[in-house]
Amino acid sequence: MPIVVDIDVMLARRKMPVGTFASRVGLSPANVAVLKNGRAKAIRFTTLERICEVLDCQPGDILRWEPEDS
Amino acid sequence: MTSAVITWLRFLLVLVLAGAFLGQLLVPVVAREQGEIFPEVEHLVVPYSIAGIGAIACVQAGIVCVWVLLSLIADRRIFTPGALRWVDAMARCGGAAAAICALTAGHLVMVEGLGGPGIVLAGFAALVIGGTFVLLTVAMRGLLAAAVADRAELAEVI
Repeated sequence: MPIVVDIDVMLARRKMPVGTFASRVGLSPANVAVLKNGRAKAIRFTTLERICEVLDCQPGDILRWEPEDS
Repeated sequence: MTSAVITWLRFLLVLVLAGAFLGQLLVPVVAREQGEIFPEVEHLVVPYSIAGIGAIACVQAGIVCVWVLLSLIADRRIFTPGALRWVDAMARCGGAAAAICALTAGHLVMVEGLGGPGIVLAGFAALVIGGTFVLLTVAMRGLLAAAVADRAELAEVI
């Protein structure tokens, strides 16, 4: 997937357990796993907004584009 | 869709099913009477009774499909690929019922050389109404298929 979700990096920086993150954002643990594993196909702006709020970061801190062939 | 609509629709469908069942009982009786009044059509009593009962059975099968689709709506499972099968079945039932009516009318007029303009009109009416029903159902099925695809795509949005 050319768009990489760097949630685990931000979680490590904020020293936040995945369960806490999931409950504070209001996501199911399964959906957090989907985001972390790079299997997510789409994300709502409202979800992104809550993630940024909880992790105190910008969308660019958790979303990264990688060229397809790399 | 509200549950009240589904409940009332089911109530009406039961009435239609009961009416159709009554019709199936009446078809052979009416056919036998016609056979007694017009002895030249006596050999048609049994095959046309079977055709009539069969056509009504197709309508009943179509109503059962509608019933299943209503259950899927009530369970919020209408936008799943399985629902398309029941729409297909409903269209086939309607098409079969219309085809039986049209073929019977055609047989009476062209093979037996009996019946008047009323029978010809009835045959064409069955073709037109049946064709309209089938094509309309196919068009609605396309809408349902598009909605199923959209729902599946939306389910992946986190």
